Amino acid sequence: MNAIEVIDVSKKFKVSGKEFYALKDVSLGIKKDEIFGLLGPNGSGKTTLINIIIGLLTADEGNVKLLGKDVGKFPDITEKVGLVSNDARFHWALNVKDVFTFFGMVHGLEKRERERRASELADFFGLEKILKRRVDGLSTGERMRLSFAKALMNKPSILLLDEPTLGLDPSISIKLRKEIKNINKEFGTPMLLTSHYMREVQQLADRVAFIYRGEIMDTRDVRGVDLEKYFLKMVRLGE
Amino acid sequence: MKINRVIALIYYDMLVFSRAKWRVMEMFYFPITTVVMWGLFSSYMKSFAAEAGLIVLVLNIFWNFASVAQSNTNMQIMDDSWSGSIKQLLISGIKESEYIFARIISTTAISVALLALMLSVSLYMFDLRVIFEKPAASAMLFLSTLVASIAMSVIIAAFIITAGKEYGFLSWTMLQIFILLSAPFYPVSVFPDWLQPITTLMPYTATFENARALASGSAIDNGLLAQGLLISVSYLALSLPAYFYAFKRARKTGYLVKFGS
Repeated sequence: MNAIEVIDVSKKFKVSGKEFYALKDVSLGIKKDEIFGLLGPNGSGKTTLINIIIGLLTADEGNVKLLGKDVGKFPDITEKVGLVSNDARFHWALNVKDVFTFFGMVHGLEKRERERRASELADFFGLEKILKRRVDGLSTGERMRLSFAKALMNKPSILLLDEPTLGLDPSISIKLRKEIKNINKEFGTPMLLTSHYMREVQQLADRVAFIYRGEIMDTRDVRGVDLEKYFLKMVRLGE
Repeated sequence: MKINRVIALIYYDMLVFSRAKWRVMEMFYFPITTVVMWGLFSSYMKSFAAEAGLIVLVLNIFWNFASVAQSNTNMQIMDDSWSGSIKQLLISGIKESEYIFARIISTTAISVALLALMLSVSLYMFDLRVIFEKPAASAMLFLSTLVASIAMSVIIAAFIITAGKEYGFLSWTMLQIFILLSAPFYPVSVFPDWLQPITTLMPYTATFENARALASGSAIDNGLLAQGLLISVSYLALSLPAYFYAFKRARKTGYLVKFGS
């Protein structure tokens, strides 16, 4: 059984009275212990697919199964998914500690467990000195690290990483990549990763798929593939 | 519905409310200053039209209570949208039922606190005793107002989620037309004949009519009391399916993603 199973998913949107396919007959299977990279230029449908997997958007056709359960029939399954995205925003009135407390409560963690987990994550992501700082005072990198820490608060069974290191300085990016790999190795957490950094995908992913104008053009093992050349070749093919 | 998520959202709302000064001003400053202003007016009117001044003061208390009991929920939703935090809430497993239920509870707490403050100010500054002389009837009238406002907040939430966040202004404007048609300071008979059947079905009409009777010392119409509560509950019963449908549709059209971005 795959951890994430996307079966013939199509999604159309209407812009200025014209319909277009954001996703067309997309099928993917992400194994239980793998990191799967989804590559494609801007507007190719990567974030739309992630929004469908997480349940923010419903597919017009096809379905998504997480850990064997259909998201449409068992929406609670999305509780087991953590999403790290570059557009993660929290209410400006909250501080870093409030974010940990609130999401810990949402995930039903007892106070002691919540505090222990928050302390671990704050320590790991270098947030321990800014726990009292309000979210609107965080830099892009700090906000991204908070988004990552928040996504791990409930030890998710699946992680979706939508451009997780966008805008981060190199030292943090390297640390995060190491941690992504560690989580995957230690807990076998399956991950779907989108990134514009080919080196990052090369370093992390076991397999990749290339999506272009809503269609999956190719799926392959990363080993032995130069992803930068592969990306350019696929874009040319798509045009 | 999971209780831990509802409690978490109430905690979140109270944190945001206590730190967002504009929200405190919106929910307390305006209603209290309005009541003081109309209280002063009622004191002035005592010498030549005591009843009129009292009616205006009592109905203003009802109006402000109705308004805050509706707008706070919708403002919270819009605040989640404007701050971009709604996406983080919804992807953490919070269901739409928990999302609105928690907001209704925190809004009820805030609006009841405001009501207590408005009544205290009116009692101590303007000796407004009529509300306390018939406590059971007054409580029923405020309950009916609260239920109607909750229903209105759910309807407005459904509309904003369907139409998009550029309609967020409805959070603090839409109730006005319902209040106007609910005949707060005047009887339904002032409306043209063709409009009267519609105004009778407005969420606050029956309640306001009894509130005027309460203010003027007349007898409370129990039939009208029951009618007011029934209309409020009916609005609530209709609002919930509309809200759930709006969410379902927004997930389909992509408006939910846009609402949080």
